This record gives sequence, structure tokens and C-alpha cells, in this order.
Amino acid sequence: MHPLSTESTRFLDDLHVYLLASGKNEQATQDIVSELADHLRDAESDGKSVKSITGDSPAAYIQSISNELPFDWKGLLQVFGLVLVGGSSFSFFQQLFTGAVSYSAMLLTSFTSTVVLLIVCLALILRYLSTHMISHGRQKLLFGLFGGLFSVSILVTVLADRFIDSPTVTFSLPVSYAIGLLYLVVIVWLSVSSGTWVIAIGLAAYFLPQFVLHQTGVNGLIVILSSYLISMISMNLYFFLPMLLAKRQIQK
Amino acid sequence: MSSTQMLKGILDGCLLALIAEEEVYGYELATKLATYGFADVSEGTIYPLLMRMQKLGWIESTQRQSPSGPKRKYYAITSAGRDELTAFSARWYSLSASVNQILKEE
Repeated sequence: MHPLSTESTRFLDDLHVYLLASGKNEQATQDIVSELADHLRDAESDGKSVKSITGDSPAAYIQSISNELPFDWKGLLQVFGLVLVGGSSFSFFQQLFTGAVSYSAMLLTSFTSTVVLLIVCLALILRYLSTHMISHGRQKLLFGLFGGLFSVSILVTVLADRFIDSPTVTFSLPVSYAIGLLYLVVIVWLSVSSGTWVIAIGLAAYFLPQFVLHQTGVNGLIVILSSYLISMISMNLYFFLPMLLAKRQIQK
Repeated sequence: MSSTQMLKGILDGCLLALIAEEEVYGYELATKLATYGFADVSEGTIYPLLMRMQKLGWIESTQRQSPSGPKRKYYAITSAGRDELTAFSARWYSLSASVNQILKEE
């Protein structure tokens, strides 16, 4: 099979990112990307350039493909669900670890708004980057600004909860455990349907060491530091080990 | 007016006519289009049109092995597509007759 040129690979990557960031269905996106990959492979082996396929503006071509794909509301809800459940699960289980769970209306509102804001901003940044040729410096600046926005929104969420009074619900211990169980079921379901176990592994890496060390009666600060260290190592292994193995496979 | 702009409204019909001849995959279709003199049209132009025609139910696609080896997405015309092709042909002959008449008069 004819290998694709760097230019074609970049165009296909940009198309893939743009369509997913525009809320298009993952399967439909995959279908058109692989169909165009086949086309580009044939075209390049016949000596044609990417421009002969996309026209003078790859960005305009990407948009014309995007216009024909319907918006995937189900997929979008899945992403929001994954981020909302994943993001809130750490705070929920941390509270459950020390007793009953309570939430203020302010925290729930500001956390949900923050998640919506961050996902929309990230989607806009990815759409922009996949249709505009900008320098690495500017790309870093954009992601830096996003990181800044992320930190400020989390800070605002925490401060709003602390300083603005709002109705608070405190669940009894049995109800808290029942919600915890429901959280686990939803996390497993979301992990299976989205194909990523990052939240489940993150939670296990963060809380299992805490639980084990807690049982041994070790000092509180040591428990926190050790569980933080173990969770960081586990998450790095989860992300980088498959990449290293894949790289070795390619080298072989 | 460039020929690309003139083509916009009639490319759908041309693609339908080519797909009606036999089942084809994308690259094959673009190559056929070029052999009929549409070499100026960017090859990728056909994909948004194929997606729209599929949504309208004029064509359908199936994945299968191509004679050259890899699996390809083949397009075939549906009965709704044949009706549209008939309607397109009628519109085209009527339009081209009118245009030809005007050009002859000039």
C-alpha cells in the first residue's frame, strides 16, 4: 500500500480534529477520513498533489465536508457526561472517604457552567488550529491561555462556593454510599461506551493508595503525599506505556 | 463566470449519471469525471456531493473488496436516484436547448 505524504497526513489529521471538535459523529467522521485517505493514496501514487483533491483552500474544503455531516447530540452529551461525572467524582469520593457528602447549589451551578465553558473553548481552539496555519509559538500561547482559563474557572468555582451562600444538600451516609455506587455504575458505563478508562483508572490510582494507607494507620500527610505520588505514577504509566510499546512495535 | 461556478448546479446530475452506469468508488468516480472533461474540478468536490446525495436517498454505499486489493466504499444508484436522474436530464435538455438557441441568435 502506498504510504501517505506528510502533507496528506496533516490534512487528514486536521479534518479529523475539525469534525470531532464540531460535534460530528465519530463513526461518520472516521468513515469520511478513511475514504479520503484511500483517495489521497491513489491520487499520490498517480503523482497528484493534495491541492488537486482539496482545491486551493483545504480549510474551505474541510468546512464543506463538515456542512454535510449532522450534529451528533448523543455524542456531545456523552462528552459532557464524561467530563461532568469524571470531574465531580474526585470531589465526591474525597468527601465520601471522610463521611457524608454535601453539595451547595452554587457549587453545582458554577461547576456545570465551568465544564460547558471549557469544552466550548477547547472545541473552538481545536477548530481554529485545524483550519489555520499558525506558528508553534502561537499554538503554545493559545493552549497557555486555555490553561489559564481552566485554572481561573476552577478557582472561581471554589471561591463562589465558599463565599456565596446558597441552599446546601447534605446526604445521609447510606444515601451517600448509594450515590457513590451509582457514580461507579455511570463511570463504568461511560468508560465502556466512550472506549476510554481514564476516569476509572484515575479514580482507582488516586483513592486505592489512600484507602490502603489509611488502613495501615499511617500519618495523614504521608497518606496524602504517597497517594498523590502513586496516582501520578499510575496515570503516567496509563498514558505513556501504550505509546512506548507502540513505538517499539513500529521500530521492530 | 468560471466553469467551476457554472458546474455547481449540474455536478450532482453528472455524478448520478456516472453512478447509474455502474457501481464506483470515490477515486474511480473522480477519474471518470476528469476523462469527460471535468479536469478543472478538484477531485475532493465529489465527496460533499456524494454525502448529500446519500442523505437524499439517491445513492447508497457498501464496503467491499476492490479488484486492486483494499476494501473500498462503492456507490450505487437507488430507484429515487434514477427518478432524480430522469428529472435532471429533462431539466438539462430544456435548459441547454434554450441556451443554444440564444447563442445561435447572437
